[in-house]
Amino acid sequence: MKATKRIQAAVKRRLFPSLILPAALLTMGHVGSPDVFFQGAAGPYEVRVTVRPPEVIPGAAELSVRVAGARSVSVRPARWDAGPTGAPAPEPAQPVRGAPGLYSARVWLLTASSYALEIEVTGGAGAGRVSIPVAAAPVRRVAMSRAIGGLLASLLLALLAGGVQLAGAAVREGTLAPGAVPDSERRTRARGAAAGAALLAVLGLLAGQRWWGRVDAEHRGKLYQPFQLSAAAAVQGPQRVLALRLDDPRWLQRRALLAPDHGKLMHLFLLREPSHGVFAHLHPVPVDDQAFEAALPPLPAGRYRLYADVTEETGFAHTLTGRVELPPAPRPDPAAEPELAADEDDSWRLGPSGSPPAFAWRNREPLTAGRETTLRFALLDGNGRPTALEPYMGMWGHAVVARDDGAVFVHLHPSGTISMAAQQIFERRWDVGIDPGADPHAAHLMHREDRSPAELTFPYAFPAPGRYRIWVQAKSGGEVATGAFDVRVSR
Amino acid sequence: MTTLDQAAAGCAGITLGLLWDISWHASVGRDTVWTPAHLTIYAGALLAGLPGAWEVLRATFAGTAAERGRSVAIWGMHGPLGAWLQVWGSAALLTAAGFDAWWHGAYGLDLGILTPAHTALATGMIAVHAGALCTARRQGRERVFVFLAGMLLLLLATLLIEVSYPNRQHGAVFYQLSCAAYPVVLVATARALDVRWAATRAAAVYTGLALAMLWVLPLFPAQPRLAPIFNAIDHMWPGLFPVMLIVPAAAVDALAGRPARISVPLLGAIFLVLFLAVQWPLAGLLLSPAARNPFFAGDQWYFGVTSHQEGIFPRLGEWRHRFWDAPPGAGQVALALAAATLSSAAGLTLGGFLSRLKR
Repeated sequence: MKATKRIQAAVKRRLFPSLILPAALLTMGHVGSPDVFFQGAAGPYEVRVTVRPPEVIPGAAELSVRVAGARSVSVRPARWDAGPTGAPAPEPAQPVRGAPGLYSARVWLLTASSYALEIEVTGGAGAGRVSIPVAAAPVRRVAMSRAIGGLLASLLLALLAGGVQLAGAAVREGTLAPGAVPDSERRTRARGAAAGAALLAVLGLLAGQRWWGRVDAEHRGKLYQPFQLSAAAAVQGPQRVLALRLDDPRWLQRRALLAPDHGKLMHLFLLREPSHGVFAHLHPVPVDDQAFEAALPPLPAGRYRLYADVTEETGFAHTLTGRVELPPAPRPDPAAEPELAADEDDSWRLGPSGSPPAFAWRNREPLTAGRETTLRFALLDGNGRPTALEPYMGMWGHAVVARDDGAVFVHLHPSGTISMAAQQIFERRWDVGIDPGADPHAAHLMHREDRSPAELTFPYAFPAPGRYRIWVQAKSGGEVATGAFDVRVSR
Repeated sequence: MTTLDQAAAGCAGITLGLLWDISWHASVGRDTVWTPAHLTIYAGALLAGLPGAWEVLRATFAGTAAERGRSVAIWGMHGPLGAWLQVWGSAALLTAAGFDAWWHGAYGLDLGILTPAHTALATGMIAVHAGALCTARRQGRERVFVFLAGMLLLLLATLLIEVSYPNRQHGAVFYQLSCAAYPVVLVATARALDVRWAATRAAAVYTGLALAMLWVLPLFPAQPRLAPIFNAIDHMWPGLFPVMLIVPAAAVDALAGRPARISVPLLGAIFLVLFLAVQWPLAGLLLSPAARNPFFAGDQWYFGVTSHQEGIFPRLGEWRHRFWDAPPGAGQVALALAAATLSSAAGLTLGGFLSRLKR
């Protein structure tokens, strides 16, 4: 058992070396958590997929696929607008030696855009397929390491010095009769040639440096940065209303059209600063192209971090970030009618409720940054037995993971970190066997279970060490229960 | 096989490898340091660089006084100028290859040819060719010299491939860069050798090699391995139909070959006028349906058209059969003329130097 774990850890280190480094904290669909995790069905097979998107574009996405009983696994990247017909031939995934059931693959993505990675598994049970949405954008500027920089600079200097000498030697001796000794005139001309070559080398170096600087600045300008959300909360009659504006100039440039995810255009999370002691999961409604608003639940006044999950119609998922100061709630006034109705799926947690049902973390164990894990939770009744769950926005459960400094934020489902909206967009767009008339949530009720599971499982790997809080949400008896767990993730 | 033959084979490896590499990027797309085309380029660099290094080491440590008397000295080491240049170019190329590998990791696979890292690579490639040309001249191997000059023309044409699409051959940039790149080689070749029609023969070598690649490359199947694919091709991209340097090259031979004398601006002007006279109508032919066949290899495009010209050419479309640039104005023509003149002047100087090269 220990040996297996060691092998798995070694495999993970090899497949995902950057996870171990405090690398890219810029990402798209989530904040500070670049890798994509998926667990679910590929036809008759249960697969668990991890995707490390490319950090530069064009670049390669690296995948690991864990599946039992497969004969072969292949991956095919399809850009949202090119579809399967514009996708390269499926890339066979290679079995990882010493780790049965684990496959790895690399697929190349040419442009910053939204892609579906189509994974096909074949084996004794036939063929199965699943689309994993991945948003690709440059996220990283790699600085040249000192060792490489030093080596290249010394080679360059040697080459330039050699080139200058060569120019001088060519003029001094190139056309000189064999055995003859260059006269002073030739020597003078040679010095002139060497000086000219040196000048040329310096000018060339300066021009090259400027050129490189331009390319670098352009690259940095294209790096994906989370978009900013401006927010204000105000008392309107008997209620408080949160007004959001998507007015980040870079966002406006995208001219993005949003697609609903679980029937909502935006999933907004509020975490109270500084300790993330209060949590809310709201669903603001659009007022116009750039503005959303939401009726606020009874959250205490104070400063909150905002994370808003949205998915573009291309399947590109974003987490917009912002901050807001909530004023105190107005006095209840039974006579006044609130103007804005709260969304029926809004939920929040002000603190420990103290009464059942309550969440239990089933596999609480030391967590290490970069190591894949499955977070397992159960919602228990007063007798310690799992309660019957009801779908909450089409899912048996939701989880939110945030680091105490706010630099990591991710919204998980039992199917992983992927945007369900993006997956549906691809499935609908390419007509891969989804009945458009069916319940929009039916397609992704996880694990193909139509009965309440005893446990909620979330595949994930914490991207960096630190103190995290995990909120778990599930619905039971018509009420949404929210549990909170603190955890320290080590290096 | 003499060391010069090895150097010539090395130059062929570099230049044909580069064409193969560009075709690979246009048809297969994905890349590692170890693609066969890259390996051909590196092997070419070593094939030309190692014999040069051997010459230098031999002359320095085991050479007779007479041998050292036929060499040029740098930092106390002796070797023929050509050998030194081959070593320098090869070292520059391999250093730039390392820089380029880092570049791809830092900024992504480049979609264009002209990047700082590729410019460094190109400098090394040109230097290797220049070294081999010096060696050939010094050894009086005129045929090899002509072959190498043709190879150098092909190298320059390949480096200019992005501005040399037939669609750009009615625009100023194509003519300006062509006038800067080609006359120097043609004029130097005409001046360096005592043989007739040297520049014309070099242009013929270039044309023949380019046509051979144009006809052979698409015989090999290939499929794109990057997403998205907007032009599903099933064979290697052929490259571009060669530019017609033969006509201006013949004029260069007639006017600038030894012992004739001609004023440099006139030489530049004649190059530009003849080049325009041939290339302008040819460009029209290359865009017409008459060129859409294996002979001319017209209308052949990169698999991911959209990414190359994101926002401009979203898909394969009518733009394929149009000229992309506005016709050049008088100022732009003057700039092309200046480029042709400077390039011819450089060719005269270098050709004169090569004709007198003794070491």
